[in-house]
Amino acid sequence: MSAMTAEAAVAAVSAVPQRRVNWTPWIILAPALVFFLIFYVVPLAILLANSVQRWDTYTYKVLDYATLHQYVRYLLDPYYLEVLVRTVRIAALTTLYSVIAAYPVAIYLTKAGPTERSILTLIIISPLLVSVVILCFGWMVVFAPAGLINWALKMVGIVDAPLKLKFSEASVISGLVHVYFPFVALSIYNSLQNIDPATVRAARILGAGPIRTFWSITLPLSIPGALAGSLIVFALSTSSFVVPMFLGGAWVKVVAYHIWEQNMATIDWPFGAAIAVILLVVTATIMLAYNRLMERRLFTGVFAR
Amino acid sequence: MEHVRLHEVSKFYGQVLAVDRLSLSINQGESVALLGPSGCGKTTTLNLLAGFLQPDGGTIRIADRDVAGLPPNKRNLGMVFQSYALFPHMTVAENVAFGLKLRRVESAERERRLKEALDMVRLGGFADRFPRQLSGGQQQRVALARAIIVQPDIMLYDEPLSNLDAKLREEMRSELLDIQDRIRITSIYVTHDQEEALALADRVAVMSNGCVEQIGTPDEVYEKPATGFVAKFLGESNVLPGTVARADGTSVVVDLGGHSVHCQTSERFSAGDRVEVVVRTERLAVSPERLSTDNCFKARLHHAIYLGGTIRYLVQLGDHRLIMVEKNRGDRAALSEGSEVYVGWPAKDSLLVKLP
Repeated sequence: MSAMTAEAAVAAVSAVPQRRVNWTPWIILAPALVFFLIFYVVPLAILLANSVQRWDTYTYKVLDYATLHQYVRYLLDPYYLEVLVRTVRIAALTTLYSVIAAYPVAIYLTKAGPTERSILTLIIISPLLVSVVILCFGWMVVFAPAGLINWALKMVGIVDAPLKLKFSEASVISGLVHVYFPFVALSIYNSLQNIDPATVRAARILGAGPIRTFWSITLPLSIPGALAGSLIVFALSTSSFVVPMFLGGAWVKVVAYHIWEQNMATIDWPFGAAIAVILLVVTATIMLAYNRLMERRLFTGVFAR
Repeated sequence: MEHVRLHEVSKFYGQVLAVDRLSLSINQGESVALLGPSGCGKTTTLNLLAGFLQPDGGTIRIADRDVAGLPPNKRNLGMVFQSYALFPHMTVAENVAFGLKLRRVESAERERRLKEALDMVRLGGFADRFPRQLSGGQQQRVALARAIIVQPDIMLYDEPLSNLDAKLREEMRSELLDIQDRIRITSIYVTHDQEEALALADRVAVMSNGCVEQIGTPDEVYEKPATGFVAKFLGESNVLPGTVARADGTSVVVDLGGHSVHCQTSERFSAGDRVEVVVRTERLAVSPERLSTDNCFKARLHHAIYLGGTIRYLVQLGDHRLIMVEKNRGDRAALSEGSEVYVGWPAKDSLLVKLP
């Protein structure tokens, strides 16, 4: 070693490959990251900070800066808990019905010709092209005491007096499925497109009928799309405000309604913030658990790909 | 004993006739290859046999039973797909046992047959792997095991080797031959690769435009092509257009525009017929000295392309560019490009195709 000259030592050192930081991905991500930071992370931090405060709702004077008062207030009140459970139930049923309704449509879409496919795709995303308010008015007409359904039921003679359909959980779910169905349908369609058609044929020739082939091959292989779509629908449904307001009104209150009420009517921002945080935590927990259940337990082979 | 019979089977895609009144008879235990260029109807024929498509005309009988309207799952067939078509979400064992489960084979028997099938394709230790963890060749062997395990009446192979690289293809081909020898199932191969067809099949059906041009043993279709299409499609050939100068029974002389080519044929020709002389590249010889064979011409060597095992020569003969392939025995000095050479071939190797 001592025989090594200074130059040789320098050469040896410089020959060691240097790990260079690759900035390109960060530069590409920068606009989105900055946007998220300013408009998502910062407001969320403010929300969290707000939620542990307590203020006087007449003077808006902050009485306490670090208290779990608002959380305790919400979680120990059976009325609020009932609304929370109802919100999750509505979101879960919306997700379930969306997936069930989306599968046949998505399967049909994979078999349609190019022209038919573009027309169908347009029809599927049409609820997103129309204002949610307009859609809700449409459903109100359908569910009204003298509306389409009651008229039809009376015509057939099933009921004498009109059923109370409007302002029910069913009408809220109908509206939500209508609005969020496109996300699931297109997501499942995308997944179905990625299945090698030969696997379906292989199952058929091995002796599986059409139904067995769907259960054993098509359904499991399209689960990633159904999972992605259902997570989007669940998240959007738990926080939906307009549809439950119009189709549920005061009879079907959801968590989003209370958040709105506390922030805009009662002007109890700390309580409103705490409700928002609770909804966020509950929704995120359910979604993570659902995701894990699907990926680690029910369809391990599909996701291990 | 006849096992599969297609009688005047036709299939339309819209206005296009994909299979045109095709008739074909396959014996019990026989392996037949449907060989042809893409669009010749071979894959459609296979899909008709499998039941994925229904014919627009004609009848298909399998084991003396008309299979019209019978769905694929009721035909008891085995099929190996070009893309392997393994179920990606199932392990190797689940893939292979899928057909047995559908047939409600009880679990002890299922395990025994699964082990037997995996051993047969030499994948004994791979039962718990997922398809993505296997190489292409291994995936193809799983696909084979999955098809064979249900003891199908007929095995259908759709381009079984075309997704494998050259070396693996050779290995898999001999493996298929081994397995075929052991289980002797009636097999139908669809392929555009003539080596695959000639190597694997007892009989080869060369197809074009939805029809069978010729069906025969590999050497029959190669050595005695029945039509111009078969002559040109099989092997690598030089096609030389000319006119019949003299016809004397089996021996015909064709004028290629300055060169007289001697041919032997079983067909009848008369002077003045416009014909094509088809000569396979491996039947030509090239030499710096005169060759003692029926046809010998002086020509100019354009290129000698060294390919290791073989050497390809491109030779200019009048207006014609001839290609010839010679085994590299390493016992001859290289011919220099641009030099005068002699090319020659025997009369029996000049296949004659009559032009309309």
